Amino acid sequence: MDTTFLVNQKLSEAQLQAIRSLENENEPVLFAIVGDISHKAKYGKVALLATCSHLFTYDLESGEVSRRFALEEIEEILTKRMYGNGMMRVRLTDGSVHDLFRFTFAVAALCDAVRYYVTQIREGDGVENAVKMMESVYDKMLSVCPRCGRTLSAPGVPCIHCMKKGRLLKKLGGYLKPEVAVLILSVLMSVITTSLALTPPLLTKTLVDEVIPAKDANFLFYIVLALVGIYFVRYGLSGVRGYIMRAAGNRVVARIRRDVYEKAQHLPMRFYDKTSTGAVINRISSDTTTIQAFMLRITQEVVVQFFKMIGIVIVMLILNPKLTLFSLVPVPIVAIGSRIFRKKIAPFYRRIWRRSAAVTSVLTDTIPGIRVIKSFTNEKNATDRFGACVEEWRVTDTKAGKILNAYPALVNCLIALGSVIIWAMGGTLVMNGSSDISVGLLVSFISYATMFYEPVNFFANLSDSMQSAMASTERIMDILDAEPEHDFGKGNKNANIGGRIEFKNVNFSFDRTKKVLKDINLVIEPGDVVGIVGTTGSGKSTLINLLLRYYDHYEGQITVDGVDIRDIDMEYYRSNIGYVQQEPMMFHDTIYNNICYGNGEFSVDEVINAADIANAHEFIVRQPDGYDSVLGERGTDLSGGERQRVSIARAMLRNPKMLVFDEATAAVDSETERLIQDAIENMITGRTTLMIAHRLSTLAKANKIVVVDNGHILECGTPQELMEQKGKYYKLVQIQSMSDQIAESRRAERL
Amino acid sequence: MGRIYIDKYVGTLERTDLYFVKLTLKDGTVHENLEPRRLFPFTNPNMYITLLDKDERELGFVRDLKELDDASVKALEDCFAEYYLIPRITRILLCEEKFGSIKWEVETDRGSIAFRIRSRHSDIKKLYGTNRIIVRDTNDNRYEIPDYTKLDAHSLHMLFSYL
Repeated sequence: MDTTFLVNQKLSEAQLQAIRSLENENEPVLFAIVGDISHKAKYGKVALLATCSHLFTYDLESGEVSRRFALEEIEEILTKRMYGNGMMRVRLTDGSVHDLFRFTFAVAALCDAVRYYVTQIREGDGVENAVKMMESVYDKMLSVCPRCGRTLSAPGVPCIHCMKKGRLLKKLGGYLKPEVAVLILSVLMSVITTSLALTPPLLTKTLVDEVIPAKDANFLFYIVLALVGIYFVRYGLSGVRGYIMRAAGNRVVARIRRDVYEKAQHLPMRFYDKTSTGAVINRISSDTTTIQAFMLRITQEVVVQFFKMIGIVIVMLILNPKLTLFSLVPVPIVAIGSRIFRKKIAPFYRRIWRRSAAVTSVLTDTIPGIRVIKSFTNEKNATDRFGACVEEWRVTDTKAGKILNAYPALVNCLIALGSVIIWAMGGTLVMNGSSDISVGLLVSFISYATMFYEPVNFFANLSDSMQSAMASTERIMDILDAEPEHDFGKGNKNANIGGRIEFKNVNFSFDRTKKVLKDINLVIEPGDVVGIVGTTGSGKSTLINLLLRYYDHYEGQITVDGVDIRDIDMEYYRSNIGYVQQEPMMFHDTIYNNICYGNGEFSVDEVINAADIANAHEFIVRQPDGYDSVLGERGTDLSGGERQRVSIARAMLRNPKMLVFDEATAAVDSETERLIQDAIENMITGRTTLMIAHRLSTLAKANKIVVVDNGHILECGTPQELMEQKGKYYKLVQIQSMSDQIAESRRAERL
Repeated sequence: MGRIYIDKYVGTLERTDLYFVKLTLKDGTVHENLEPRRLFPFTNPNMYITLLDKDERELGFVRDLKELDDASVKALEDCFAEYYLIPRITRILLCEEKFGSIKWEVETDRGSIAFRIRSRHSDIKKLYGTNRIIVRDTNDNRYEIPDYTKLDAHSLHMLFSYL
């Protein structure tokens, strides 16, 4: 039987044969998970094999085959994630537990899927469906390119090596398309300027050989005139060409930047979890510039320089083939030397760059933290650390300085020696009365030979600039091609977001190593004020993140008014939720614009009203510039509580149906807390509200408390119920009231 | 909120001191020593005016000057004329960066003056969507260019390197 089975790695023919030999007649292997670790936790290939009714493992190296577990006798599959590896264990119906398969996290998702595979089959869903489910998991897991076998930069993405030439260039080509006319014009212009650049040496030859010896003033005048004309046209044209190329280049780079930025806005939070925001900023600002340089300058130069090189050789050969050979002697040496040098110098540049980056990072670390340094009298230490960094940079840069300066000196020397060769050989020939070589010819040859090195150097180093452009392109394509946030329900604006919220068996994990939320079941009735409490890292914020649809890849379902939130139009959904963060983000703009936040559809009265409800109006009227005060400037730095109130006004303005407060009062004093609390109370009437809070006093208005611990919902009920239960919530309340009492009595003592 | 929205049917304003007004409501209540302030001094100077009491708490609120009677409008405008000093720049003679700050020499509707500003990013502000520019100097004084496109060529040239 030659049915192929699913496999997550490329296996050799022999290995495939070996696996097939384990198959029974009517029970082919359906999928194989090849892990890279053995039972005894030594690296080695072990495959977990599944047929329609059995699971077993096969050690590809030792050939050991485990016991075959029939699916009927398996009670449960346990995939225990340990540290750096995991173990799949089976509990059989007779109660015994067996270790089946040790795996690294590289295949953890597949191992999890096996669990569903088994349950699906046992529940009679049909083997075919179960295999299809596995297939989709395999597709997502694809970590090597199926075509070239190279490792992919991330599982499931297209292979850079296979798509590179075709797709990248096509994508870039799309941006160049509107500029085609300019590009062609520019190439034409450069062809003209290049041919003009080739003529002056010819004229000087005539000048030296004929005009000056003949003392023909008239002819001299014409030649000078011609030279003047040529130079005017040549430099004039190159000026114009430079300008139109720059204009075209700016248009291209502006388009790419806009596209990348727009795309970046729609990328899911998951993308930002793995890529630092700094890296994204860099891609939009500097990588686009690299691409612009490459697309316009380099591609054009290839044409121009090639034309120049050929032109010079042809002219020289026509003038004198023998002298041409002499002049071109140093060319290969210079070309090869330049290539070697570039390769040698690259690591130096990288090293210098890294050292200066280290200097900057010490600066950005320590100067903003100057208070800490002073309070721990750590000035000397800090200075020493900075000094050491600067010293390292100095040493590296100085070292590189040697080779950086030696090379150009060497090359220029070689080029100069080249002209000496022409003088020596050519001079001898002229003096020997060789008929076809004149002094003028020698002069023009030296000009051509010097000119020749420009294209030579260019081509010698072309691959470097191509490589850096390709790297930039890849980084940008990474964003442009990344999958945007799924908006399955685009256009579906029927759901009532103020309705009943239900979490049904929700499980979630950021990176498939640790489940952050486990079996969350929660019902929130319309108008409920829900307090979510729990220790740091217990999963409170993650719960909110799922509700706000920052992450869509959870198991289970979250519904609002019976509709899965993933089926609701994203924009509509989010615009109906008011979200207030712990540390509100303020933009460098007026208070007014910070409240309406780029949304022009609100009237000034609405904005003032929202500010009023948020208790922000009262401090805004005291600002000299009122709502026109620009934030983040001297004088108008708002305090934490004031910023919080501005952000509450921002949330309020949209008249949301659901409110989410993520520790809105965590970072303020108790007086401000009261003001914010007031503001919140103004807002929550009639709105479903979720509040994450550390301080339980914040939750005075809550009619439902959810205690989250370690990804589970530990307790859930009205505050009274939970107090009577004497569980975790009761304990938290006691601890806080105790510490409040202590603080109170301390204050009393001081008075 | 205890604020009173004032229009000509609610009450009248009377200027009592340099920049203070007295509010007399139709029912006879009188509030003295109120300080009128613009909530949008740059973007909307004739609307949304707040009246603060001596603790800087908002007591009254005028949505639009047009909703007041003429005498009250005059009272407010007189107060504002004293309170807000924002000279209008009519010509820029000099605008150059030196030793980290930008030196300006300008002619305004109130005469010529020279001043320095600290940073071109935060102290020269073009109001989004308009041609108005607000300039703030190192001493926190404000200057206004109502429409920079209407400046003469020399002034524009000076300004453009810093905008």
